[in-house]
Formats: sequence, C-alpha cells, structure tokens
Amino acid sequence: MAASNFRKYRTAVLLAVLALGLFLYTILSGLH
Amino acid sequence: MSDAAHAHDHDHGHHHPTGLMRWVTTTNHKDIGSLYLIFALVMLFSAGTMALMIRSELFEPGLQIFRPEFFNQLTTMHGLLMIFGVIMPAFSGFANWQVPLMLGAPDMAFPRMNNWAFWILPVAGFFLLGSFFLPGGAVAGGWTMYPPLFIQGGISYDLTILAVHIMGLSSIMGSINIITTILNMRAPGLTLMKMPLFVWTWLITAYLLIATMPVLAGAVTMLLTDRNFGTHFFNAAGGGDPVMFQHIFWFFAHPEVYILILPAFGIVSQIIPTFARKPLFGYASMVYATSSIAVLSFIVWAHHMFTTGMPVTGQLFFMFSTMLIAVPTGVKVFNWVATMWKGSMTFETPMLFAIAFVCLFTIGGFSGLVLAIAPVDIQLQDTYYVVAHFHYVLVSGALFSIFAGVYYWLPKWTGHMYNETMGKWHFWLSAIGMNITFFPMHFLGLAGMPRRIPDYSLQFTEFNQVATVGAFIFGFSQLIFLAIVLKAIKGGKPATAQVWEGATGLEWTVPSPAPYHTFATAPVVR
Repeated sequence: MAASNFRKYRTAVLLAVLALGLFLYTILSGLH
Repeated sequence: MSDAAHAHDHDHGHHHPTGLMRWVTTTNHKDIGSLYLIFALVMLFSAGTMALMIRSELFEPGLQIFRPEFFNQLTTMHGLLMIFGVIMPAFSGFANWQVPLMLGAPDMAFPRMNNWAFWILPVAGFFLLGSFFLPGGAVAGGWTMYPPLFIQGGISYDLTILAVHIMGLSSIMGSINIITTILNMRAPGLTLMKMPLFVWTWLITAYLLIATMPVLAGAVTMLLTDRNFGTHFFNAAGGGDPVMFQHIFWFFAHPEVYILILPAFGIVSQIIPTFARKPLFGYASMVYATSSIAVLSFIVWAHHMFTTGMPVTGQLFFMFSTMLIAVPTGVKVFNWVATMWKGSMTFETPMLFAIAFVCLFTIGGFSGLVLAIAPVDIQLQDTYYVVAHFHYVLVSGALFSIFAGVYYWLPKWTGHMYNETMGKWHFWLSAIGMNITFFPMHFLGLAGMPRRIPDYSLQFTEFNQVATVGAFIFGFSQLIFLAIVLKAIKGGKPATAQVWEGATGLEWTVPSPAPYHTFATAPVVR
C-alpha cells in the first residue's frame, strides 16, 4: 500500500510528542 | 506511469555507493537489519567474554584473577552490554529484516531515520567498552545504576549516562519507525488480526519502548544533574531520595524485561507452526495475551524493591499483580504446546531452539513466580537465585529465540542453507552448557550466596565450579554458531523461496536470498 505521507508523519509526530512528554514529566515529577 | 514503475526508474537514476560507504549511507531495511545483527553478534562475544572472566574468578573461593573493583566493572558492563548491546539490537535486526517482508511493504516508513537509529548505536557501544580504559575504569555500580554509588563514580559514569541516552534515542527512533510502518504500510487486505505474530509482538514492544525509554532518559538525566549541576534529586544529604531512583528506574526496567522477551515470543510463534505443520493454536488469544502482558508490566515494578521498606499493602499489591502475569504467559505456553499437539513435527535446528525455549523459559518464569512472593523475595533478594532466574529468562528465553530466528531466516537472508549437523551440535552444546551453568545457581541462591561479590564461602565451591565448567562449554560452543553463520554467508546448498515445507507468509513468497528491493508493488492478501 502506498501509504499517505500525511498519515505516516502524523503517526510519527504523535509518538515523538508522547516520548518527549514522558521524558519531561519524569524529570518534573522529580522536582518534589 | 504506475508507482511501481516510477520507483524502478527512480532507483536507476541514483548512484549507489559501494564498499564501506554503502553500509554507512544505506537506507535499505535489509542492510540495516544485517548491521543490527552484526553489531549484536560483536557485542555478544564482548559481553560473553566478560561472563567467562566472571566465571573464571568464581571458579574458586578467594580472589585469584581480578581485583574486586574490576570484577564489579565486569558484572555491570556484562549486564548493560547484553541488554542494550545484544538482545535489543538483535531483535531490532529481526524487525528491520522481517517486518517489511511480512507486511508486503517496500521498506520501513522512515528509511533515513532508520539509518540514524542504527549508526548512533556503535558510538554508544564504543563509549561503554572504551570506559574500561578511563581513570577509575568502567562503571561498577551494577547495571541498575543505583545512586548513591552512581553519583559518586568517576568520568566513566558520565560517559555511561551519555551512552544510555544514545541507546534510548536509537530505540525510540526505531520504535517510531516500526509502529508507523505497521500501522500505515500493510499490504492491501492484511488486516491487523491477519498479521504474523512476530509483527504483532514487535508492535506491542515498540509501544512499550516509546512509553518507557523516555522514563529511563529522565532518570539518568537526573543522575547527570545530581553529579554535575548541584541538584539533589537522589541525594539524601540535600533532601533528595535515592529510593525514588529505584521507583523510576524499575518503572522503566520492568516493561524493559518484556521488551526483551515479547519479540522472542513472536519468533517462537512463527517457528513452532512451521515445523509442526499446523496453524498456530489460538492466534487471537496470543495477541490478547501479549497485550495483557504489556499492560500488566506497568503495574508490577516495585516487586524489584520489596526490601526497601515499603508498606505491607504495597507489597501485597505488587506481589499479586506480578502473579497475575503468569496467566497470559500460561496462555502462551499452552498455545505453543497445543500447536505441537498431533502436528507432523520435524526437529530442524530452529525448532530445537524453539522447543528448548518453551521448556526452559517456563523454568525461568516459574522461578519468577517464586521471587514474586514478597516474604520469599526478602530472603532471596540479591542472591544467586535471582541470577539463575533472569538467566533462564534471558539466555534460554531471549538468546535461544534469537538463535532459533537466525537459523529460521538465515536461508532467506543469505540464499544458502546452513549446515544442519553443525546447527544440531550448536544446539545441544548450548542447551546442555546453559543448564550446567545456571541450574546450580538456584541452589547457591537458596543457600544464601550473594550476587555481584567476587569471593564466597567455602561451602559454595562445588556448585560454582560446576557453573564455571558449564559456562565455558556454553561460551565456546558459540564459536560453532559463528562458523555456521559465516559458512552460510559464503555459500552452501541453495535455498528455495519457501525454504521450509510448512512455512507460510509473505516473506516466503520472495526468492532466497531476498532481493535488495522487494514488494515495489504491494501484494494483495486475501
């Protein structure tokens, strides 16, 4: 299937944002 | 012009580098898969050599060969390299080779990111191995990187933190690529519930990686700022809490355990139906069991911390949630056995390793249940019982599945059959050597021998000597594996496209060796 570039990039960007969010959340939750 | 024809023309318009630059600049999933597997093999021999050095020191009580601080560096680096340098890259190698082939996709979704995800890995490997030569030597606080030890060490600790960051970034990039490929690039008609189980397990593994690698990155970043920028996240003297590191670390590291074993489940679920000549028993239940294991892996982390002084309610919660994982794991083992039931079985090397996986991984799973019982764990914490447990899971589990997968797909990758007689020698020596090494460790642990200590009391001598002999049998039999792989790359009996009589799936419809470009036109799956 010739996947649409929009769908591919949307998946990748959502996953990257999730990863970055978890990274920041981990550190911020350490600042108790 | 159709897409396929366009891709063909486009391909010829490019100048392809040859020699070393071909490998450095490659964006081809098969090349990158091979690179991951070669990297894992090199690291296997490096970290395996460290294991044999550890076992040599432990052959007799007292200090014979190494200084205690160097012994601690060996155990730490053996763990870090085996996990991040061998098992994870090897599974990434399988994913790169097989996922596009199994989905009928021409390549991974982001080929350039795929190249980056691989090529930053050797840099991390170089940092880890090179840290042995820095002042103070390599890190020695255990692969778990616990503070306060990890805050106090020398320059190699900073370098290890950098290496962990790099390896985490590589894993996240790889996972984004795998998820995007699986969700967007399946052949027409190949619905999610028709995908081969190896692809399913990798999809779930990739989600686990995305959810946990940033947590590890956060934890080691806090270590880094504690070490260099005056923060006190984990320093009790400044109001921090070293136990908080353990919570954050194990929130990463328990799902990591499943990251190391779910792709193994996938490989075994491909191999057993092929050599039993029957479809996999309970396909849907396998998918649901894998997903359940992944979800449960996030609520069991503190079973690694029963001795840190947590409330009894906490101990009970983590004890029961851990035991709950035995249910989906039991479903899987049942399905593998049921697949073999009344099958027309043959016992080629991949099948031998897969059957050994089912039997021996179950032993590792069972000792995991023993350790899940909080009062028992308080006795067994940091003893050789734990070492026996996780080596049954990671050696006869993860590593044996990697061997099984290599033998299974090597004819597809190289176009040549491997030497079956040598394969059987490799299997039997590995299976026997592995059990001689790790089974006595259960007894040593139950008798109270602590792990990560280069010396021990006299009563532990015999079992340690047995374990060391087994380790050398297991270690040196891996040279047979190396010889088999090199021989198959160089030549041998040509492999057919289907290779194995009972093999089904898209990867077996392309010739052997798989051409450099496959599925430029997507196949249709019914």
